Amino acid sequence: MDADTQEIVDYFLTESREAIAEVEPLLMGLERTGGVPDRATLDLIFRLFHSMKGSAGFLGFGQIERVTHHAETLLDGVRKGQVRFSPAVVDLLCRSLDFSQAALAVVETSGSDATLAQRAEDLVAALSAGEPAPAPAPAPAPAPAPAPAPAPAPASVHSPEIAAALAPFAAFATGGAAAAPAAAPPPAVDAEAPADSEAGTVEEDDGEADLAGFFANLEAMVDAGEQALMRVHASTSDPTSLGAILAEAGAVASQEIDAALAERNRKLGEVLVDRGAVSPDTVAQALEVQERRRHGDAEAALHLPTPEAAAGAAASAGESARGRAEFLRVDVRKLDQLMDLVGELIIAETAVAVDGAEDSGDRMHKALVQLSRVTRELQDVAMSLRMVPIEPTFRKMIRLVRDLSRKQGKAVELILEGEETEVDKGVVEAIGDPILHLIRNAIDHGLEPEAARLAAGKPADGRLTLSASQQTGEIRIEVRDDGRGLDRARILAKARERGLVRGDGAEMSDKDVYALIFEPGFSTADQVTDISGRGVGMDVVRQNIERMKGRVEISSTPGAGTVVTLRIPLTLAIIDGMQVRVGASTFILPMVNVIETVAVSAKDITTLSTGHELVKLRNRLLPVVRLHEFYGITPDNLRIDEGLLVIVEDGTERLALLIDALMGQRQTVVKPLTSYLTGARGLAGCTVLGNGEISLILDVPKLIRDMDRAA
Amino acid sequence: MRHDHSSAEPAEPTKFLTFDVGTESYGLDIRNVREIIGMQSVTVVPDVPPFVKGVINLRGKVIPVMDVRLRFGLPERAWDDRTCIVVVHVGDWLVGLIVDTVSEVLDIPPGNIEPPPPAFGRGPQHFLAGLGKVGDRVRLLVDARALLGAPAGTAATPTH
Repeated sequence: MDADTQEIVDYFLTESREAIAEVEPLLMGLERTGGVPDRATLDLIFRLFHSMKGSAGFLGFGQIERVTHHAETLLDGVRKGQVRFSPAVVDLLCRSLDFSQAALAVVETSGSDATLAQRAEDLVAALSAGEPAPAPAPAPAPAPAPAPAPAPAPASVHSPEIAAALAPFAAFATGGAAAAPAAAPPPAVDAEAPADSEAGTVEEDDGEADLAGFFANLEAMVDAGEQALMRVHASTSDPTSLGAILAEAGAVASQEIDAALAERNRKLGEVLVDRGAVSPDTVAQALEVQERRRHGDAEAALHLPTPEAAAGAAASAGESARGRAEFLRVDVRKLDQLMDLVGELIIAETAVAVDGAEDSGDRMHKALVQLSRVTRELQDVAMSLRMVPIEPTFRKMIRLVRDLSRKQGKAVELILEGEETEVDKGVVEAIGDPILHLIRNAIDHGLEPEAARLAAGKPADGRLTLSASQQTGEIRIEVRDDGRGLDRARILAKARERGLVRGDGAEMSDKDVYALIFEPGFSTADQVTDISGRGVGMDVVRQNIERMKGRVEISSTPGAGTVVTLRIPLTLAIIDGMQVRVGASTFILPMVNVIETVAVSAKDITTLSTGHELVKLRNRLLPVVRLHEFYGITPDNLRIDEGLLVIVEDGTERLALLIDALMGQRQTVVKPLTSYLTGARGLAGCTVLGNGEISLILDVPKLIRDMDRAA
Repeated sequence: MRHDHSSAEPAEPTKFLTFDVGTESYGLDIRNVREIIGMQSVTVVPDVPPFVKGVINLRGKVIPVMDVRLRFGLPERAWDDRTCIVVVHVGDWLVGLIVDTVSEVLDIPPGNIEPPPPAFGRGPQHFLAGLGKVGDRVRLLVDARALLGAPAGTAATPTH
């Protein structure tokens, strides 16, 4: 596959996946409530299959095309009221989504979906069984055009214009991709809806942006063609019908009229006003036009002041833009470049500020203050660019929970909290798998079967809560279940078996015992259930979180439930740090972790037989960490009482770090250490100081953990 | 429009940056070379293989630097004013290579490039992409990706 085709395919894959991610939770929600979806939701789902069908057909993915075509037909039957929306329908649609996902994956790796022919065959058979008998009238209800498409202008009754609208479509169909079709919207008779300038010609050598535009144009053309067909249908049908009059004038979107007409026992005008699709005044005017037409005045037509017509037309086009118009798709690499530059700008600004502040006058000083302010603000905005709501990740879990609860035969209620919490894009991508696994675990092992729950006085439905929140400097994600909780004794037994604890572990705190499940090779599952029981899960979860420089904590109440908490630091670009020197190296300690700095005398120091050193500080004994030893640096002082101790803490643990000198407190830009240097222990990143020097930033929690491991 | 380098016409010569390490002259595909800078102060970073001397500040970017002499198994040598850092990029990595000197950019047509000989023992032969004939000299062409190896750290040091 050549590079250009590959790009179109990539675009197709991205778009389709996004659409599926949007549609799936909606389907799940409908299934749970057992309700009938509203028009907007149905249209959204319909449009997903419709778009996929079109693109798949164009790209030659026959199997995807077939399945989506039948799913679309089924949905259309629902829209028209010919098929009842039942759990069976939801199931079929889910299977179609699953098939689509699988097909997308296959296409991604092999460039073709041919291998899925049998599966497609089976699914198509099932879908066809659910479809209504083919309708006599051919005009399919068109899907509303997506945001980039031109707003369909009110079409006239005259056929030449409709023919003109269809002309590029025909040219495209006969000339194939090599032709240069112009995606022109049906010409506006009243020129009320602005024709969008997106319509353009496609040439063979277009750049990246034009490929996306080409795609949009293609869609726009197909939809414009359909709209034109609808117009034909509307206009060649009774011109004295109210619906035709309103549609022609663009006062109401054609699909609204369709939907309203479905309510058979009421007058169209009433229904439309009720649904808010049109104002009572407009209906009154249309009724007048209707009267005149009935009396032979064929020229009578509804003329609307521009805003309403544009609104009506825009409703068709924009109705399901659904906030897509508010977003811009940006290449992540460009964003990263921007972030890098902003970081460098801050460093440069700091350098200027440091030097410039000294021998400068008032004006320079003011200018520097302003520069500093603007730079910081720019940094905030740049940081926020990478922040996206965690909602899509959470919503993906809805499907998982449904499938798992069915498989396990346990009813589970999934509650999502804090979906709007924003998280760095990199984190969002990496956090999906860990959360998935924790949920699997909770359902497989945490939640008891219904009988046991009822016996314990709990509601029959297991309760699983997934929540996200932002705390100072970190994102906290919790997976909470109200199941049986963790069994300390069983965990210890297994840990002893695996040689993870010495002795009976009686002296270990609950927190430490529970943390054992994150050790590699640990699993107390009696049966291996999918991936959950094989003991590869929890330690991978912890690894993944730690890779994001986060932590996993677990707490539990036997009989009542378990909570797993993931804490991930916000991608901090600037932190308050204390710069310290050890030998010739300087380190930055995040102020967040620093408690105080002390100089101690020899009498406060105790050395154990193991070689460990402790320092007594206000009746507390703290372990001393010789940074120079840990990092292999030659220090100024080897004696604790000749150096300085910085007391740092991480939650509950405190350490005393031995350093040579304090260099001062400063705000520093945190830069990640390149992935080329992954082995560095205890480091959160590095920073470039105002004088150009590089300083390593200590990650206190990581330092503590890495030390524990080494011990 | 993206230009697909991999489908470049075969007859085009590739440009190589030549540099000296020890007594030998090596070539590096210019497409991997980002820039060449003079020696500057290196900040030591813990837990890295001996040939990774630390990191430098490249206009605000912190990049690791490798002493190619050590990577090639040669004894270390004091840096002088001819010592250069060749900044290369391989995938996501930007790494500085400390070399004795940097010379010229040579065009070597693919026809003049032979595959590298099988590599035994220690030394630069493990990092070669090929041998390039220029006039009557043979240049050892270095494979940047192989030179960089796996991420430098206590776990994944490339073995010889």
